[in-house]
Amino acid sequence: MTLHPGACDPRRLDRFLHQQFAEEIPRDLEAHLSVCPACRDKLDELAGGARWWTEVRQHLGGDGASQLARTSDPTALSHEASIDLDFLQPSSNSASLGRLGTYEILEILGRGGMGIVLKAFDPQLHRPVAIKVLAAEYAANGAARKRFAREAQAAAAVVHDHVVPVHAVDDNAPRPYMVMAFIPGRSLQQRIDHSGPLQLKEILRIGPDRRWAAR
Amino acid sequence: MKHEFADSTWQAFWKTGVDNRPVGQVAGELGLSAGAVYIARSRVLARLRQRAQELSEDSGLFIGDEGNDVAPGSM
Repeated sequence: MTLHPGACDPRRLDRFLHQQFAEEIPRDLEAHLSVCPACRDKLDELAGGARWWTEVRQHLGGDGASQLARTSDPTALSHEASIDLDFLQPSSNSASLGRLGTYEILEILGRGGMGIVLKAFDPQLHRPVAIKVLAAEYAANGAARKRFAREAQAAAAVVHDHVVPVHAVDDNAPRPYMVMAFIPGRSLQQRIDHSGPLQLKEILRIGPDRRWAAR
Repeated sequence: MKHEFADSTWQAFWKTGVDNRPVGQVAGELGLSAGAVYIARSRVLARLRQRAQELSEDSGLFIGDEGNDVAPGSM
């Protein structure tokens, strides 16, 4: 299909965007995009738009790299003072860092880009739990709160060895939180590592998807 | 994911998208037209977004692409 170099064709842009292996770009399309800001904007919007460029810059750019270094440094987790626990209620239990709902918070297990994971004690059922709390900067964001609630619902719907059971969620709290089974050791740490927006970095390390390769 | 793309495609994405450099400059460096750089960077971004969505569906991660700005507690 050949188009006049001057013609705008958004449907063709969309089709071309998703052609994985066609590395050669039709000259007329290339020429058109070099001179047509409207089609460049359209292409950008089809690809993901400003929101995704921001996401990419944040997570892959200089700031993201230093953020990754911080998050993967195990000693960083011990700097509890740098983690803001203002949202906890005072507790009468001296072993507790504070209360969240009825849970006594015992320690900070990890921190990711989206929030923190706390070890807590459930006084009603007498068992340790892990509580994931959405970061303050995301708690004010409706979309982030919604995703948080959806993550809890998705995890709660699954019973599987590789999915930490979800006991409860409070997505209406000033800082939404999710109460999960406490699993000592590596598997929880892996989940913590997976919970931040640095996930984009991981995506880049992941090889081609079979679903895509089959196209 | 980088290996799914030609090197110049990836470079066009990284230099303009991540390093935030002007398209014209990067095009000159890579020996591509500005149009080719726009196409290349958009294709990588679209692929990245698609991959993020697949992973997010698989594991309940936070990267998603919902219609935003839904009021808290509406779910």
